[in-house]
Amino acid sequence: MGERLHGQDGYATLDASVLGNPVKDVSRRPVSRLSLLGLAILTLGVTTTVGCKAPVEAGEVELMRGGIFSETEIDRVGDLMARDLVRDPVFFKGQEPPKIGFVKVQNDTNQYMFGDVREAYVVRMRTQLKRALRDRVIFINQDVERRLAAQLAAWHIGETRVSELCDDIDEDIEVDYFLTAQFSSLPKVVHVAEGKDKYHTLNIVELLMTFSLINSETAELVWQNDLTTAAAFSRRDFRD
Amino acid sequence: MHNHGERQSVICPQVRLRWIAAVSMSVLLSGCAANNALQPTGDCWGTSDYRAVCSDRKPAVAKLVDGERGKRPPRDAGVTLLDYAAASLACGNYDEAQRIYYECIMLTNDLTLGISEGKASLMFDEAIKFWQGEAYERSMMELLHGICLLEMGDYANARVAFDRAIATDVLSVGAVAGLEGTVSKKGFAPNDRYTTKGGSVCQRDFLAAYVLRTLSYLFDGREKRARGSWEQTQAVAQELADAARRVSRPTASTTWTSLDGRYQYPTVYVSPYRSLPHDLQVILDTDFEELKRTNTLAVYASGSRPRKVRTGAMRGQRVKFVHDTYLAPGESVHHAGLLIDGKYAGPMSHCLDLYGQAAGRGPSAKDRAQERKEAIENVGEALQQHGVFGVQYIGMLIQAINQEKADIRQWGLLPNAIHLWFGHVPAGRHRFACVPLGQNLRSTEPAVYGDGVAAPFVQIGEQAWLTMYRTQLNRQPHHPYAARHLRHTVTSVSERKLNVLFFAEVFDEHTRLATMGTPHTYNLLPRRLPEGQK
Repeated sequence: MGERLHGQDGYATLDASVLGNPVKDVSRRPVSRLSLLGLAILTLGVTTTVGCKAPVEAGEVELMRGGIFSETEIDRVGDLMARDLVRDPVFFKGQEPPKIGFVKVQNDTNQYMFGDVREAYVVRMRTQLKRALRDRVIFINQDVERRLAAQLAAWHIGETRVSELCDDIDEDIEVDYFLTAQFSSLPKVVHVAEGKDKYHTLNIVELLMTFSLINSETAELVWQNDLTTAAAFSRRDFRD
Repeated sequence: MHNHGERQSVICPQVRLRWIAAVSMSVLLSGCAANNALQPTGDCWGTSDYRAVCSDRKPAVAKLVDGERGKRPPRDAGVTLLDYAAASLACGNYDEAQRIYYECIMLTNDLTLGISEGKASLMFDEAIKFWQGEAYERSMMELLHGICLLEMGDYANARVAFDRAIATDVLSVGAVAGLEGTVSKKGFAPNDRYTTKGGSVCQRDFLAAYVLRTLSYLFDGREKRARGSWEQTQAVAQELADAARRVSRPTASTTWTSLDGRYQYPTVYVSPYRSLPHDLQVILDTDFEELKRTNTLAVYASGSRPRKVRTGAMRGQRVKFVHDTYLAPGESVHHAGLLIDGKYAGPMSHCLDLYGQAAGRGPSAKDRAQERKEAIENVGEALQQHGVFGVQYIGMLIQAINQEKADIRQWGLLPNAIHLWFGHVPAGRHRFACVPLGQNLRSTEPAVYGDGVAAPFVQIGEQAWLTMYRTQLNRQPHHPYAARHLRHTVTSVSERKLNVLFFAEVFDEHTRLATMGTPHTYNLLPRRLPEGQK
């Protein structure tokens, strides 16, 4: 049955292909024809969604069309990150569920990223994680999250030390982990085969999306994953 | 009868075919050849009332932005939206201006896309006359959008805007340089397949974007990047100052040699009225630690954009066009200073001049497309002279499809120059006034005519300045140096954010009448060869 994940000792087992299922008793659920049918529909849905982007083959690089912050892309990235994060032991090792705050979405590309787009990533990941983990995770109140984000405005991924994260936070804010996202872009030249010993070069821009979970007390990086998307070359996508 | 019958059999099908070809092409192109699409529309330059422009354009803009989503906008949509956005910004309505500038950015296709997509879209839009703007118009769109975002406190997106302005500016010369070759550390390498390989030559006179990007980084709390950006800004300012010193004649271009291995394209073109680089000295003298104290930015947008004009022999629709004209000091502000509470705070740095953008770079991608169309038109005409009927038909089709009429539509309220003043102002309410300096005052006050700062006004203050202006205006009501130049505002300054003040020069009817009929046109500068290929 698709992608069944067997948890490590002491951790709940998750069916990663059906994020919305409750955590408990998933491993004991019998594989029914209905679930197989559901999986097939889901697979078809995912395939269709990816297909909507009309990828272009450029050698071994799959190029996307449309904006790098399009709705489809936000959903895809949010889902994939949530799927990976949901497996992390951090959610299952203690009695108390961890409190998480999504504090930073840093845009280092040359594409505008207004509040609604920034919020869309946060909402998508938060929704997927909550659906999968239910009571194994607590997201801090959004007002508190905004307060926290304002306090951490001067903290920048890759520029400020991670340890500084913990320094200036008000004591009344209870948060165990910070979730951050960084978007950066990199121009690349790829070779596209045209036939035997023939090729032409194609300029592309690779968008790198890195998500991190950081312990708010120790500043320890407990989880990190990244994802790349290649788009047709655009000089707007990288700095001079 | 026989002869007549012969003539019928020979001529009529040809005429019929011509008619069919013309009708079918006109249907296919669905109005691509509409003459009204090629006329300069909405030229509201010369206005003295930006609020009137806003009111005038608001219904059309509302229809474009809110009313007809999903439909392909009219071909002149960009011009309408941009004039409205510029007028909104001049009125101090930053939110509205930002919203419309962003709509325009979304409306224009991404010219920075790769060779295939970028050029294809450019050619397509050129063919159907969907207004996309010149590269410098696109750069200014991004820059003014960024100023709105700065004022609104969205520093992260403001940084994006200024980076995009720089990137688009690179493109405008890259359209030529990219085709010709690439400069790298190893030197110049000609391109043989019209492929840009990165690192192409860029025109670095968009200094305002570099300055504003630094401030965006600074207020976004990214000090490390701000420091790097400021170093880059000062390097660009130094290049501009060097170039200005080398210029011997006002309309001469300057070669570019300050960086080793740089392709000697006239990357800097100093305007005839940009006398000395003294205003850039402020940028060169400000170190980063001093810059960090900045809490106020004043932007003065002066002059009128380079005008696109038809030139060459007007034979039918076949025209070439260049886009260059410049307002003399009597017609526009070229040097400005800032008064704060009546005290002189210093000159504003003349950080951007579209004159140089338009005149100093050679043809843009659109110009090249236009040239190509003229060549196609010639081919079509030659084919029509051919004896074989089928070839004639093909020639006719080519001429019908090829719309080679010069596109001189442009963004009417686009300013020509950007002057910047930045520094620290104590918190509280202050009166800011932008005043013209130097050559602008040639006839009103000879004592202060010169290259630099109008020193006497430091002592006499704003009130005396204004009195003198009024006196002059009363004596000569139609004098071009009218009080319109003096722009002021009273605003509260905060220590905790970047306080942005935007002033747009106001033009009066007299200026409009004095200059609109006599455009100065300059041919594009001759192409220069890279070193070693002369």
